[in-house]
Amino acid sequence: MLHAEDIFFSYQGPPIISKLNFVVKSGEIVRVSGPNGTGKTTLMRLLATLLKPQSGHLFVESDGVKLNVYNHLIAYLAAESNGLFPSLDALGNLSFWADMAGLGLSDETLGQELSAWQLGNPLLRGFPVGRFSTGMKRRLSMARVALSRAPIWLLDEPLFGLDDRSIERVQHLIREHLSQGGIVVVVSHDMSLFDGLSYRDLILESRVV
Amino acid sequence: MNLYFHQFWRLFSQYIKIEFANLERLISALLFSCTLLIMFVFAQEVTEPSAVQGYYISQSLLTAMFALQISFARALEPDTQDGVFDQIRSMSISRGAWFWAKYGVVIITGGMILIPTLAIAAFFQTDARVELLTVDMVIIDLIALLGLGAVGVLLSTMMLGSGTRQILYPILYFPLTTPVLISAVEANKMSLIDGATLGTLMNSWLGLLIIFDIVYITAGFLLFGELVGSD
Repeated sequence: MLHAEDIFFSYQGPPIISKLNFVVKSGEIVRVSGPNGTGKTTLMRLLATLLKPQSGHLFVESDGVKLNVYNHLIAYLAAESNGLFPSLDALGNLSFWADMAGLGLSDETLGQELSAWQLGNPLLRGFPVGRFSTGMKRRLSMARVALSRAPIWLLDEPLFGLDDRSIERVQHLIREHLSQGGIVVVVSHDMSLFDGLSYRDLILESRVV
Repeated sequence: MNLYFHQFWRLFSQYIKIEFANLERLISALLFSCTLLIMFVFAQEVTEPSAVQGYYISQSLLTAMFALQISFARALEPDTQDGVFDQIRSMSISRGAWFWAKYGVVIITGGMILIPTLAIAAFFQTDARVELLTVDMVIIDLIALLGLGAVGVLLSTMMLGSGTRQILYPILYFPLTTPVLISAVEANKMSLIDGATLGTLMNSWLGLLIIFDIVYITAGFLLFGELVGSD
């Protein structure tokens, strides 16, 4: 279970997030929603441990053990970036992130994952991802998340730039992840992600400036 | 293979691949070296061999220091592209392994700038009539590179979040590297002009140079984790 207790955060100004409490249980998907500027991406960055809350606690409870450091349990997809090395090809990027997650997957497995995201074309071997389209980069980034085996997925606008076929694949992967007891916290203005999914809304209210 | 070493090796090999995929980063620093050395040669009068040795040391080290500064300032460039930096931070990756990988690549690319710079500077001193590029000199300068590289990684990490890094970086880099450079110049002078051996130099300028290296590498290692931690 992912816990947030009395979270307070501000960027040296008015609070972005104040007294936020929630729990996400295993097998649950939570949609973080609210108007622009209410702190959705900030909350995702807090959950991904890229920001520290000024007060409050974020932790994961696993088998009755409270984990304050839980980076090994998360896969994070940022809103405006994909975490890709632009000068390397898709396989070079995917194998790096898989290795860093301690997976040690074979090139064959990585190739299968790339094919599942329509990135397995031999012509793309050696082709730098910096020249990929927005959707291709997003697909590759989702492939990284799918391969990660992390129980907690933090997805900030995962459908950005994706075509219908890729959106279906993301939906399928999320269903599969949830059925295996995984947790998904997602920010998405595209409601098609939630088609047929039972989700809970975490609404961030407008902050007073 | 333990996780720490595995992460170090994977990061190191990834950064090396990126360096070789972006050779212009290396070439631009080398071109800068060549240009500066040619300018020095045109400005320099033909002098006595001992004076040429002095010129050689000052010209080559000054040029190398500026060229390395250009290279070091870009040390974290691959990480800042497309959110790679945040991606690494969000994962369970040892900050120590990350530092050593980054430092290792900086030393290798630094060596690929430093050694050609020394060789080109010696090549241009055609009137020297004495040996300029000696093994001892290369060793002394590589030891200096260890300290300069640590300062380079530390400063480029410190400047990541700063909007004024183009100004701040050189302002901080030059004063911090001065002790390393003075020690390197003095050790080179004693080696090249006075004929001192490395063993003798260990009790004077070379020893001081190594102490500065240890201080900067330790500071870089200890501060890197703090600098790349949560905002």
